[in-house]
Amino acid sequence: MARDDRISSELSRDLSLFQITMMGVGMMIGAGVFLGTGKSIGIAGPGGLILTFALNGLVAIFTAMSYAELSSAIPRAGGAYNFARVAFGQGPSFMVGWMEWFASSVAGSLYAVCFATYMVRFVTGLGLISLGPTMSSVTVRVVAAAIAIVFIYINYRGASEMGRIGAVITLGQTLLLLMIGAIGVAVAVYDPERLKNFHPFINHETGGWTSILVTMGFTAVAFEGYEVIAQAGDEAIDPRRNIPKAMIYSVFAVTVTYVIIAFATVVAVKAGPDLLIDGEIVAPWKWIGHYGGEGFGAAIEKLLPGWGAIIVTLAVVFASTSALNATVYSATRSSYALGREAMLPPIFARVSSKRKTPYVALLFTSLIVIFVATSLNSDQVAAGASIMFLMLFLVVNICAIRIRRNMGDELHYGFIMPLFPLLPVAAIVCQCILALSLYELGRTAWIIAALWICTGLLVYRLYSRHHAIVGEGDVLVLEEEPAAEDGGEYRIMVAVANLDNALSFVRTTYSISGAMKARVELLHMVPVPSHVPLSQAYRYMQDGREAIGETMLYLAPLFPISSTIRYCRNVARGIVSAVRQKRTDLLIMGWHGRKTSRGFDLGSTVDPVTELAPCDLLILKNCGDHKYKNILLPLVGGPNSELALKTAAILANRNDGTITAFTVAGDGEDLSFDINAFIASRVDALDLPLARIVTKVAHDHRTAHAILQEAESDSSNYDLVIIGSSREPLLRRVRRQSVPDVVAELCAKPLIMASASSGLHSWINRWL
Amino acid sequence: MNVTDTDALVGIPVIILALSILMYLVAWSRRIISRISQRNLQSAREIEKDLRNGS
Repeated sequence: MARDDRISSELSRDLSLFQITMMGVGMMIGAGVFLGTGKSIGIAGPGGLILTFALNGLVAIFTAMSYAELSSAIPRAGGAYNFARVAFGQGPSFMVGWMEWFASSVAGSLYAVCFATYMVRFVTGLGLISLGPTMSSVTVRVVAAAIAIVFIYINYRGASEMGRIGAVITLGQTLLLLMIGAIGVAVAVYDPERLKNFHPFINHETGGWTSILVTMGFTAVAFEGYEVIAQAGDEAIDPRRNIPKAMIYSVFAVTVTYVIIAFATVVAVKAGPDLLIDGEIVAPWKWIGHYGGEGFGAAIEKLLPGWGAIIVTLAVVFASTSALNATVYSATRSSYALGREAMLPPIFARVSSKRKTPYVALLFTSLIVIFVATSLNSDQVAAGASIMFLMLFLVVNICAIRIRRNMGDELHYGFIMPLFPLLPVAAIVCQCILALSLYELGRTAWIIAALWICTGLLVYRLYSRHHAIVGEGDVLVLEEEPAAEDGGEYRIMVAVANLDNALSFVRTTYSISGAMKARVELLHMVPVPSHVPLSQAYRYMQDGREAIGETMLYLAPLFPISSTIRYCRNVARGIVSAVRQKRTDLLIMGWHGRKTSRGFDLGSTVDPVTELAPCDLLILKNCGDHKYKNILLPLVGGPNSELALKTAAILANRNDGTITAFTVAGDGEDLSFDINAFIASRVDALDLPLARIVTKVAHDHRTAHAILQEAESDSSNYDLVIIGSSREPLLRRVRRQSVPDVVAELCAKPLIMASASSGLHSWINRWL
Repeated sequence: MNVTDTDALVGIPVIILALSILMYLVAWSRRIISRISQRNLQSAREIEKDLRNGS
């Protein structure tokens, strides 16, 4: 049973741009870079190490662009969960939130373990205590649980407290790493011999350039900070500006820091006879790589003898605690968002009245963090978390494309990415490649990921789908009358917008429906204002029901016909959704002929429908219930002209209707389009003799002007103009306004715009 | 010229190119966020149109 009562809860809005940027940086510079540096240099070589971080930064900023755009338009706690909710609805969004919660919680427990491991090693290294292997393992887990509890308490104290402490810790760790980087650069300047450490640039013993894909795979997790920034939507000051900025800045800052650190690591070790592995002298990069996860620490100890161990321990302590802080915050907001939408029990959405923090969501997140930190094999669970993070990022990139395409006119954006949709597509391709490289992490990670996903599916099936709140953006079918079973295969949908002239509008379409032996569906969208809850939508549909009923009475004896009345927040989105769902072949809709909204060429409904409807489309302007005797048909070739010709042949009067096929060539130019051949090759498919189609060519460099002049000429006396539409958004980017749009806007005669669906474009529109 | 020299000749420009693209995207993003805010643009269509017409 769907519930439409709202759970009232609110978080305090006091995180500044600096604080949320530092949260992102803090989550990124976690254990990943310390463990990843040594492993990467061993696999990819010294140049490969720097390439790994530089290219990973590039891939990360592609996804960060998607996150930034979506977060600016949907600035609410929940991050990827919210984006999936808006783009795909309840089921997929629950799974995204579920994976996000687990991935962040487990990442938090890993940071706690990382902190504990280095602290215990450091203390035992000083000789203050002595622990056997068993006691050492137990102590690590106790310290991990203790540090997790400390940061859970800090999160409970509130976003401001958490943000302030987290920002200070992150700033400290970043400065420390930059200091190490600066020392490395200075050493290279004073001792240029160390630059020879970059020889060979790539390690060809492990696959050469392809080995960089593997190292990018396991260090990708060190670039995931934008997820935690997205979670701050409810708590950031001026989120539409600050959240995108914080995401972009944090990825940039982290990438530059990593590249400098990687450079410092390579030059930190001077080549010499003391670099021995199994009694053999090796190159510095091989020596660092030999230490694996501890390679970074070993290199820095060479760079700063005596102080290196302390500095590395300090850096790891700072990095682990800030990442722990950020991941606990992120995981808590994921489960809070699920609770807020009643996908999980509403208790998850409870907010402390004093601290303004979601304390119940924090409590459950804490249980996962502490349980994993104290009892499970962290490496494999972390690998599972990495797989889920990559899946999340992949979904977010798909969401960015889908939401901009389908809801770009409705949302209030504070940022949009350049080169849309190339950047998210590039990110998706890169994420697929990195996910494949994560297969190296072993089967257990995939089993853990699959187990958590299966559990999520079970929770959704047994609880969430019965309790979830119906979202504001969901399309709802209010009333549906099924069609008779004996209709044809061809499906025509007639979108009825203006109820006052619904009957006359539908009459003009029935000659088309009859010629195509089609099954006809009437669609009326009921736009309900965003402030009106779904439960009240029925109040808006009474008029629609009467008009549709009257029209049905007229058409039902003539064709197999059905009707649907749907609620939607946005009419264009509702129409496109219905066309996709019903697998419509031809959509017929009306246009009043006026531009009413800024930013649109024809209108806020016609433009998006023209761009997104995955079917043929006819837009009727001022078309009454006539038999047309003289139709003007401007042609340029292509599928739109073909549909226009087909429509003209259907609408022309059977007895004496004529069509004037018209085309325009530039002044003094030869005609590149052979209009006679175009018609001759298609006339067999038309129910009109060739003799009734005349052709005409005008010479004018102003195409729209020539068409309008011809349409309005008294001598020709046209009673209808049918013109192929330009539905390609790319074309509209090149030209300020297309010729068909200008003609449609300025032509005083009845007019039809024809827009044919075409292969790939139609497929993309149907599925995305 | 051996293979490692070629690797460096390809690798170093790739690193510089990656960091340059990163910097360009950061600068572009800063500019677009300010522009959207100053001109009180809202929908993606409005913003795209403003970028096409007024850049």
